[in-house]
Amino acid sequence: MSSDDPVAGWYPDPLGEAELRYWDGSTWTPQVAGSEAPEPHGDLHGRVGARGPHTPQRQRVEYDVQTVRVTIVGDKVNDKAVNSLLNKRAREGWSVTSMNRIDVKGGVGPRGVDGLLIVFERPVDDGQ
Amino acid sequence: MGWGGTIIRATQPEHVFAAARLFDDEPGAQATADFLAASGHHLYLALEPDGRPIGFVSAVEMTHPDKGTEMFLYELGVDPSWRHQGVGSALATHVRWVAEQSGCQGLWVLTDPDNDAALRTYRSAGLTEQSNAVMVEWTRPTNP
Repeated sequence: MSSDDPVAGWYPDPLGEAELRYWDGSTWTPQVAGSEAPEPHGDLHGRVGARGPHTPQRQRVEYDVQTVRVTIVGDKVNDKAVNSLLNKRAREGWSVTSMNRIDVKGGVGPRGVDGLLIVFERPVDDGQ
Repeated sequence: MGWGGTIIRATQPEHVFAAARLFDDEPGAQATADFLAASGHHLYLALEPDGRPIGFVSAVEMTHPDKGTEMFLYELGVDPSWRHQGVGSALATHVRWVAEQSGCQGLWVLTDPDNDAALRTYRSAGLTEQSNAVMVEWTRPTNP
């Protein structure tokens, strides 16, 4: 992989299906946030992405709901702050299940402060 | 919007050859290797959901003393059966994003003034027309 590649992280989705999509350093992955996740994507090797089809023996997971205040100009989220948060949580093993824009007290004006409700998920050991 | 596929960076010659039918001419082995190895040279493939390449975009970073580094969108092509489904727009948007992330001062591309499809694609990625440029070129003659 070339050193010219943008670094891995969450960015505005160039595929137009969601607000944010995860770039792994060389591929836009099926992991999205901000709308319904689409069907899994294949790649050149026919692999299915990280958010692949559910299997009967699903891993047990835990959830965490987080509300964040973000600056929104027009419809554009301050993606640097969101990117930083999502990558911090990703390093802790969390992945995003859903992300929705919500009203937060004090959010007024075209350059208002608005909120995002983010649901994180990560696998937990069954201990069995 | 969205055609259900994704965009990947072409890093291996086999990626390029898998997309050969999308190019004007057959990719050469040496030129392909040189392109993939060259700094500031970018080639991305749009894949349909089963992984087959259906579009590509290439771009090269160019540096000039008074302009810094700019991204030149070299070529963009989409399989005829996949046009009008957002593939070209996603590829152009992706390259603009790469230019932003690479610290480029801008992104530019040339197309014909009557190429409405190309203009629509580039406008959808936030590019705006700057001039009615005329291309003037020299091509090495092929030896008899």
